[in-house]
Amino acid sequence: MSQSSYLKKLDLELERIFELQPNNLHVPALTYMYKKLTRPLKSLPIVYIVPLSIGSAIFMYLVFGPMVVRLVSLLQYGF
Amino acid sequence: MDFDMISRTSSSVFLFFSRIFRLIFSPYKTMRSIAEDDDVVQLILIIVSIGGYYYIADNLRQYFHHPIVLFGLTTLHFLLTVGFFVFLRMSTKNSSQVKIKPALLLFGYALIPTLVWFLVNSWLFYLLPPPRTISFLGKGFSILYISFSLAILFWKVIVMYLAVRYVTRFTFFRIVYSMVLYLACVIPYSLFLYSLRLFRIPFL
Repeated sequence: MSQSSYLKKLDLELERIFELQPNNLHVPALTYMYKKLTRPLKSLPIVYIVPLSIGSAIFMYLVFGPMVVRLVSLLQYGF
Repeated sequence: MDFDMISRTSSSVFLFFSRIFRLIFSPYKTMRSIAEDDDVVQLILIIVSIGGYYYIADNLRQYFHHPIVLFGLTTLHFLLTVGFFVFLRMSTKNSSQVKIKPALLLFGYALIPTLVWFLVNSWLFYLLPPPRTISFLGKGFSILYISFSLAILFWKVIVMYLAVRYVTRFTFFRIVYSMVLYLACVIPYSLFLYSLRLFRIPFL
């Protein structure tokens, strides 16, 4: 493959990668925090979502008690 | 029907199921690949799945209205949602060049978490009908149900964020503002639909 075709392929790939402007929260600290928090969510977020959901549900039960059971009954009628 | 059409349709069906699976484990990469796609067959499959859900749910618990009415309204809401974000992009970016098919596909796949929640909920209604009690099993099931619902909600938020990001090309704060604007329109409308006994929880 010639150099020009390699360059063309590289151009297309860079265009594809930078199609979207990177996120900028205009405050460096916020941008840094955003990138730190979203990095694990970009690959295999289920690893974080499942324990977080279970923890939140247990926390909700500890705080609200039997109201959670009523909420579930309400949600089950929701479809 | 020639072989080419059959092979294209079969590959679309395969891609549809594989994307649903990959949407669970790597939503970012999957939505990125969907943003470059314009396959109408996958969109049809999503819409047919939603229609199928309404017919299944109607058999489990009869709706006040015919499922075809609910399905038609859901399709209309879906198109309005896509139109809303496409309009936002066109009005803010001064760009009339918006790829509609990828936008439809992105928001179509963003309906998958909703479909999963509604399907599981309808089957749970059939297998373990409410109301739940404050017994040990009732509390245990409630915690599991809330965990499942929260997991689906987080998944939905991620997928919806990615759909809005790829369609509108907005950055973080603009996406948040556009979602707030969208919810400001959707919430009163949902209450209106609830008053008409159409949807308890809107299929969005």
